[in-house]
Amino acid sequence: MRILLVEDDIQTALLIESGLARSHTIVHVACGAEAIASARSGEFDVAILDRMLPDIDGLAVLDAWRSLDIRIPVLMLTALGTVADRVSGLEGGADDYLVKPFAMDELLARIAALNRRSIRDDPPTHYRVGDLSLDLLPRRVRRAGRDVHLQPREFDLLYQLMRNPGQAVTRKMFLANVWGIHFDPNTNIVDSHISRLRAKLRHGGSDPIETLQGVGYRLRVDA
Amino acid sequence: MREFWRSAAYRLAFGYTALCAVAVLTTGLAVYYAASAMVWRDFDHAITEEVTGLKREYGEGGLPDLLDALARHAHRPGNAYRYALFDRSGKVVLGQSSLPEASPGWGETRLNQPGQPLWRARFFAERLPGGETLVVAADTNDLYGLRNRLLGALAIGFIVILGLGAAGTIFFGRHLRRRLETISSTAEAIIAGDLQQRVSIGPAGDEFDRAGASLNAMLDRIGQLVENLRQVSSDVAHDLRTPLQRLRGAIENGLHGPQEIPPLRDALERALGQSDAVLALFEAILRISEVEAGSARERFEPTDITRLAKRVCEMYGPAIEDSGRTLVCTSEASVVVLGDRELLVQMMTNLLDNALLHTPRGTVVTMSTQQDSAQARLIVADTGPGVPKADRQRITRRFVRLDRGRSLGGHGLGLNLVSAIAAAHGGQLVIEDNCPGLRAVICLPIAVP
Repeated sequence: MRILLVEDDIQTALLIESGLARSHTIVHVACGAEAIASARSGEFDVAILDRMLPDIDGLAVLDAWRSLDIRIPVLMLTALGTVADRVSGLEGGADDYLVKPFAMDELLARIAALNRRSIRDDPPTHYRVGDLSLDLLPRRVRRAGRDVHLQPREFDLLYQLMRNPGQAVTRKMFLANVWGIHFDPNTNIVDSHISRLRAKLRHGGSDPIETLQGVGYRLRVDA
Repeated sequence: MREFWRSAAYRLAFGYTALCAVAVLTTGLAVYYAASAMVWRDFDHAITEEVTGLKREYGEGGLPDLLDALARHAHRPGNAYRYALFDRSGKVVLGQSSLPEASPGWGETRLNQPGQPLWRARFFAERLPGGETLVVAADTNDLYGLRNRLLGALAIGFIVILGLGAAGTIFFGRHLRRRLETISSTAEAIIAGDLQQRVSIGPAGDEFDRAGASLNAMLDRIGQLVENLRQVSSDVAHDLRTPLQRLRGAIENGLHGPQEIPPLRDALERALGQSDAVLALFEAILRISEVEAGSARERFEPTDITRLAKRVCEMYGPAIEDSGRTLVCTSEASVVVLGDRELLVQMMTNLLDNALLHTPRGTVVTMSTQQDSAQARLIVADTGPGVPKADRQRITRRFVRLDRGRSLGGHGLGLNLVSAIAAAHGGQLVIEDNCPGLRAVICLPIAVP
């Protein structure tokens, strides 16, 4: 994947580059004007945009891209962590919003999810991974041809995994996308829900969900 | 004087006085002119009547009768008129006080005899059918006296008004200045650093008192924000030191310990864990200060806390079950408050986190909502060991943890955040005895539909 990284702090930029370089191609620019110019080439799959840039606000860069009809998915990075900041960032057109400091695994997972979103403008209502299938309308899950009865939240969790097959889905992503909460509760509520989902999916067969220690979960593509 | 004029209070009072003076002057002059016009008209009317009477005598009996009548009139007690009669050639037939022969109509005359007061008179001359001229005059001294008295009264009234106005201006101006100075002196004291200073409020409840009360409310709010900021700085200064010290220790141990991969990894993992702890603490501090700053109020909307409680119970159910405890959600009727959904959810999750952290396995945790006419209540109760009465107030403060060894984890900010969120919604957190166990009650004002 080709990623445009807009970040003025060199150390942060180097860390992100070294973290992403294994699986992606990174082009790094350090100011808003360059960012606007670079994105016009249209060669990028995802942009990582710092909100606080030396010349113009990250939101203004986003604005400029959108008015130039550059429809690149944008992950906004920010040191501003209040609810109001997050809301203004998302309302400003960012596809995702990550507050510094973040874990590299979190960034990788979010970028992977963003890229998948960009490929399909019109999200499908049917997903199939291995012998698992999920329908949004009606909400139905089948494994190896047999219906699996899930609680509403278990269904939502599986949906998150099936949208990103073979990719890590972090606990924060589950919390935000399933429950709409953007803070970390002290109690690990995701794990308990996932273990129930797992038990229902496994039902004698193999476990389609893989635990990524300290990160989150991943749906096996070969499940 | 310029100083005086720069004061709005004095300008206002002075302007008002000037306006009053102009009004008094205008009214006085109008009264004066109306009164004198009336007096003069009556005066002229009386002379005309006298002339008409005399003419009638002349018409009835000719000159002799007229002379007779003149003599009679002149000796009437209290007669105010003087007479003169001239014949056709202008010779005086009968004359008093040397009235001049004049052409018919109104005229005025004055006589300045040495040793006597100035005599002024107004007369009417009438040409009689026989060619004689009859002049009837009356003394106008009294009229001029009346006029002078009227003008004098007007002048005195005007001067009194000016005097009262000036005194009022000074009094009113001083009063305004004094009232305003209590406000500006408070502001100056605050600028000088005494943040506790407040505008003194009088018992009258007038505009100044109301303005003072608003200012005091504003100062209280600013005081809270300043206190909030001070608290955050001191929290960062003091309570981040411990986890940072641990982080530093972990890194140091890694550097100075055996230079092999497994212990180095171990040290790095500990360091990562500690840095996450620092971040969690930092985030909690910022979150509390964000909530206390009250910016969330812009996003408030009617929110059903019963629905939220059910969602949170569904969210926590499996985790609480896995921990060997039981979660019961007993709420049915919807309870609507004005609030921020995410903050209210965080408040509930913090209370559940707390109940999980501080109770043994087998505990039953109950979450419920209630509503009466005055307020909404969210209650999280557990059947755990509870908290001694003496500590119940204390545990909602920052960084208060009852486990002295701090082995249970948590950064000691959970209940403080709950308390801050409740306060941001105009409510409060009350810790009660659940007999047995602990009962956290959030009282919130209900949303007015």
